[in-house]
Amino acid sequence: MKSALLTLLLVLAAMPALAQHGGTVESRYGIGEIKSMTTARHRGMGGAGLALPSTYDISLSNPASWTSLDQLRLEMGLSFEHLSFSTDASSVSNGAVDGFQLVIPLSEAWRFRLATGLLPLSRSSYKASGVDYLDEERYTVQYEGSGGISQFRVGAAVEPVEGISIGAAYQYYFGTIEQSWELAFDNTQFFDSRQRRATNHNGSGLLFGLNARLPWGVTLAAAVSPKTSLNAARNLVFEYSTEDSTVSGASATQTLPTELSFGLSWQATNTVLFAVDYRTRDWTGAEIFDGKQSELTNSYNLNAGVEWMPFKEDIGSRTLSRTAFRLGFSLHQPYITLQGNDVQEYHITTGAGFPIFAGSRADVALSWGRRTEESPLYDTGSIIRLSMTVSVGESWFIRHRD
Amino acid sequence: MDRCILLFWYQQRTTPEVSESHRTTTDLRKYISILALPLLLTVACQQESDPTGIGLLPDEDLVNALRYDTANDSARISGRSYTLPITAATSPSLSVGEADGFSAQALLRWQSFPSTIADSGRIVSARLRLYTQSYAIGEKSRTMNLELREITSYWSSFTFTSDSLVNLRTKPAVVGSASVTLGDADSVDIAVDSTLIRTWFRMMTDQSYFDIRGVQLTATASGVVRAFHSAEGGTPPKLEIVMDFNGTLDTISGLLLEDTYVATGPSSVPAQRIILQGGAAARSHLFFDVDAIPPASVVNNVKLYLHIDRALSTKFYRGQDSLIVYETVDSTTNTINTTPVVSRIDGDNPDVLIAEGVTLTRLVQQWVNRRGNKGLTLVKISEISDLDRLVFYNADAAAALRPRLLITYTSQP
Repeated sequence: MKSALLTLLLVLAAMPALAQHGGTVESRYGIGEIKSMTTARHRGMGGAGLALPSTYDISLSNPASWTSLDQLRLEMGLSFEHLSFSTDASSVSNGAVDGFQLVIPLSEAWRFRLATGLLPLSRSSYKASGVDYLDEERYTVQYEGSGGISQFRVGAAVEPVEGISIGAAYQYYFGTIEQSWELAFDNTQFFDSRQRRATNHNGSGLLFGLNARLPWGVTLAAAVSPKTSLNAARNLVFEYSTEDSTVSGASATQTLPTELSFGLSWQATNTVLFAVDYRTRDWTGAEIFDGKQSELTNSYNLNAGVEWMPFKEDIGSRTLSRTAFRLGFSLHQPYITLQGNDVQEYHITTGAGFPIFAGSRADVALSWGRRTEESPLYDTGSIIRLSMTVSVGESWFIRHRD
Repeated sequence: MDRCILLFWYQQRTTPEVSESHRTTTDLRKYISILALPLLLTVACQQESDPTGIGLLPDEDLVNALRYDTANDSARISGRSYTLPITAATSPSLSVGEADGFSAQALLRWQSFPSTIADSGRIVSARLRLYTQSYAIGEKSRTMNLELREITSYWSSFTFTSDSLVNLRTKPAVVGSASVTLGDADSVDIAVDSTLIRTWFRMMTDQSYFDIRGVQLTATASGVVRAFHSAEGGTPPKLEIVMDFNGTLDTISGLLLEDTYVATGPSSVPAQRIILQGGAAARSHLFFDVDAIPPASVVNNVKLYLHIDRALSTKFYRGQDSLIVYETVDSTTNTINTTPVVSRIDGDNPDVLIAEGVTLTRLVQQWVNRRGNKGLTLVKISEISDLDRLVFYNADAAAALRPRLLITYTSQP
């Protein structure tokens, strides 16, 4: 186990190295691009997953769902994103680790489950540049950002009443977002301007979840992440031609507004499962360090999808019988809008889940999306995301009856 | 089912199922390794983003280079000239004479002669030979009456200025003289009194050579100021003494020459001009108010433009249209930061001098950072040697002629 954890630590240690440029300048605002908190299974279903019962997939957004897990589970995710911009026929690509979660089934009484995890909350990653002139002097301005906020999570879930699960998690947020700009002249007689700004965040938050299994295969779910104020400490460095480049420090708060999520799933038949989610978070009043940002707006997600296991009844085929196919659709309004008008993003998703070894499973998802509003950035460009989640299970804490 | 988890954990570790657990650990490691592989591939496949999306940034978030031009932005400008006694120890020229309000005299001394002569031998002759430079103020063809007097008070070329003249003591008797009309590349010999030379020989023998004070060279009422090569020049002054030692002639030279000159000049230049004078040094303070630039802005480049008033400028010596800009540290004591910025002539207008460079940029950066703006000190190039005058229009001149500071800066978005 030590070797396994060591390997895991090595993988996690690689996470900061992933904070490369591969996003857009939108992640310059707010706390950067916010992760969707969905697994590949959910992404295959358009992102709907709040009310999805699962014995292997660890929900990232609803702690109440953890009660349905029967084994000790370690789940890790990877994602790859490719954004193409039609305006200048360019594109950016990036890959990221979507963190890991570990759920330990401590007791079958009330299906008591403990969980912990390290998950990315947001990511700032961009590099944008432009050329301008001041009279006859040509110069280039480059904006760059990296880093993000992560969360360390510890939580528990119980099922005190048959069919009703509740869960809660304490989430410690931490991370640094670095942003810089550089203005460089072609004329070497000119001193170039540079500013580096590093904002360090830390703070605590909570996440509550509720699952209710109703008759006819219906499950309702709700989750709330109450408003949280993070402590933010900022270092600002100006590079002057003089040796006295200034370093100024300042402290402020950064708010994560309340997020409300509602979900519904319906096991229509033994092989077909429908799910729909709605999630909203109003960022318009959020404090971003030293004030509100006009670029922030109310964000929401409307996700819907279907999971089909056509060979579930085929007990002769062990792998196929446990293979699921998924389709989904999502409508998403990002919390950052740089056009003055709110824009929407829609995605069509598909995916599959299959067993790999013993009690371990892998899920993959592919989504293709566009924005509804024409913008200088995306215009007719597209957003392609590929996700993979691996869930490794082992019955360490469960004593099986002889 | 209700059991102590830790106990179960312990039990599981101590039962034969440990081998199963070990197998699971191996599997876990395998899975994580499998997971790590695509992760590393993902990292490897990452590409640098294209410079896309800059058009999305709101105007108030954009960083732009800006210009602050004192010619357009009604900046407060003030210029003030002042005189400063300077030392000329390193000057390649020794100016001597009186003309056009200038008065200059030179001081020379030799710190070493043979210490064994004392009263021996006979001094046949002693002469000071000076080599002219082509520079002159006044009527070059006028005859100069050059006179040498023995100096009796201490002086050092490194500290002697025009202010030191009142403390300079000389014997009234002339110890050498010459009346000459000098061309551009002449030399002049001045016979030196042998009594004075003998005195110096004795002082060398008595080991009081440090009391040898040398001679003062003047040319009063000459109507011309001429420049001679100094010890720092190409052909320094020579003191040659011909000795007769029992019928054998020998020529002895004064060694370790130390020389300097002091000059005073006219003060008839209009006060509303920025005056830089060499020799009889006049410098100027120049102040620009740059408070209109937002604090903490990054200064990228600074150009100082000064317009020469040709009518009031003179070119008696090298006549270089050039100046040195220093940071004023204290305008009341006229102290400066000695890191210089040398000007150049504007390619579009030979009457305009431009100074720019890292030093000037750093200086203005300090002003913008509100670390104190004491302004600039302008010094004529070749100030210690050339009695030229460079005059610039001041803040009260027509807009196109005023001193101008053009600052390129970047402010915080």
